[in-house]
Amino acid sequence: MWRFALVRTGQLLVTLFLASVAVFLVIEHAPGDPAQVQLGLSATPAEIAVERRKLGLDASVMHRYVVWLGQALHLDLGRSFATGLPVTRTIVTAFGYTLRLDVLAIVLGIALGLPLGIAAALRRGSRLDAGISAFAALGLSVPVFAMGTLLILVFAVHFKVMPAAGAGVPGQSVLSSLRYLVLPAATLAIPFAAVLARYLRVELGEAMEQPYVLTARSLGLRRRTVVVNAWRNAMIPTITVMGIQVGRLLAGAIITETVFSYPGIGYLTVQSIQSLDYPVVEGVLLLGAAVFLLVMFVVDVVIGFASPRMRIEGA
Amino acid sequence: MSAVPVSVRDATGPTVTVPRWWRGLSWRALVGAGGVAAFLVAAVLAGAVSPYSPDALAIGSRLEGPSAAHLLGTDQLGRDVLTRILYGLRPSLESGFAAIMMAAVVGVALGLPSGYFGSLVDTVVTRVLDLLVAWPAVFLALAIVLLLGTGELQVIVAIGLAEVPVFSRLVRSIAMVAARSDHVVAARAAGASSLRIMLRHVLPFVVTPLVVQFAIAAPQALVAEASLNYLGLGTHPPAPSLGAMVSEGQSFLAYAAGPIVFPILVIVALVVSLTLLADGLQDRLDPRSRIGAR
Repeated sequence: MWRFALVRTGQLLVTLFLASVAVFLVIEHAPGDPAQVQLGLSATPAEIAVERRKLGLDASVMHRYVVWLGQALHLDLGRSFATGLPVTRTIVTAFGYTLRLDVLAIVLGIALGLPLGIAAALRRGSRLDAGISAFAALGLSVPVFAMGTLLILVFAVHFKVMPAAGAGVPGQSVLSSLRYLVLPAATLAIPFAAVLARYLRVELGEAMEQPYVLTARSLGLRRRTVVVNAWRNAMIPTITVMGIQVGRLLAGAIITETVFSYPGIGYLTVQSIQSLDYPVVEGVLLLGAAVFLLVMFVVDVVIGFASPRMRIEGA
Repeated sequence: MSAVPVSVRDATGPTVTVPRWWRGLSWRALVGAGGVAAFLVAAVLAGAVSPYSPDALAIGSRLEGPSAAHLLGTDQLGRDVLTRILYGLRPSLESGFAAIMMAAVVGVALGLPSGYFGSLVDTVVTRVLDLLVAWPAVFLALAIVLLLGTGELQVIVAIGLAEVPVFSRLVRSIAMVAARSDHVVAARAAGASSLRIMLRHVLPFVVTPLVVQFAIAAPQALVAEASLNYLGLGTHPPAPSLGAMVSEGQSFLAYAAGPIVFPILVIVALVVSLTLLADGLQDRLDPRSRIGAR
């Protein structure tokens, strides 16, 4: 098992390294000269040359990559072109917002998806099952941006019970900041719950049809007791899928946060790309890849510990 | 793995009249196919059906509700919503199709040699694809837009690239098995070149799973296309697109819901149709998928 974890760690580091190269190269080839952006359109060629030297842009690509990576490893990503604030601080602030949103979305998603999935699995073929399946299919068919705008339309514009955008003002009470989280979190939670319910339905349903369940039942064990046993086997594939979903929350956050103008990482990403704020773009892309890869890594290792069979593939 | 011979029979079966797999499709699949066909016809006939131009402004009749003149009302610039939806279907359908086509072609080009040769080729291809899946697809799309600017072509490339690993892995896994089968060994003994073996003796195994994967990827590509257009990374205004209509209408939600609700309904209907069709095709063509289904 430790061998598997070690191999997986090595893979993670290699992919992270390659991802950093990719981010650097994308920014390298993106249109616009950082020196020009810094100085504005009125700068003379001579001024730009001086600024380029000051920013270290006259060194070789290799050299600049090594310097850049070194600084990035020390959490120094430069300053935002737009605000002049350190990129690291900007990103940490935004990430805090996104984390709050994602945690609430996961909690809501599990609270909704878990009972629905179990109910569907234990009552397969019933009307309840059909209804849950239909809900799950619909939840997956409505794109995130459409779900978000529809929720705004219903709860913010029509009933006026929730704010339509933003995260409120600093220093507000927990309750009022929570109000700003509800709609975006629900937007993310609905597809999350739909996937969870779908997988649980199939996996738990299959586990309940296994011979050991029949044996246990025939020995007189109560259904509720047996479900707990079947549960363990159903959870392995479900954890994998949920891990991927958590990784995807990050992507979902880009669209959801744009819909709600919510000041998290996703909104920051879109804003920084639109305003060609390259230091921030570099930061969010690096962070995005790192978080996504880390989540995948944790999922793999957790699964490796939970189920010995899964270890063979990686090692 | 036992499904492979079945797929081959299906793929090379008599296809002169109605393809054999078409028969026996569930009613859900037929409903899906009907829905997709209806949207295709609507998109193609957009100009013939609607008396309006999608870009015709009418400042006097902004944000109107549905009426006889404007069946689905007008948007914030007085443009006919139904007309813009019909024209907006075009980039969605075209880009979605083009993106998956690209993913399928690149996926076969990478996956076939990867699975057939194994060893070094496989390692290199797998590592490169790992890099593609290291980001959520939206990040990939944003990076591409950063490099190439906004536009529908960039959207196609972004969606296509994000789908490539799925197709490549599918083709690779099938090619791996096929490369070790008796008829391939026989072909090699008879002196056939690797290229010939891959195209003549391995590719046919891949066709049916590819069709299924194509159908599964279609609704995803459509959602991705609409989402990227919502973020403003696709078509340039005033060209209509379903995603852009929603983002443009969002600022005027308090005054009129039609300009966003109707495009959303169309997107959802299209996604549901494509999903039904994909599920039906999968049940019919891939016997393994039936185990989990009802």
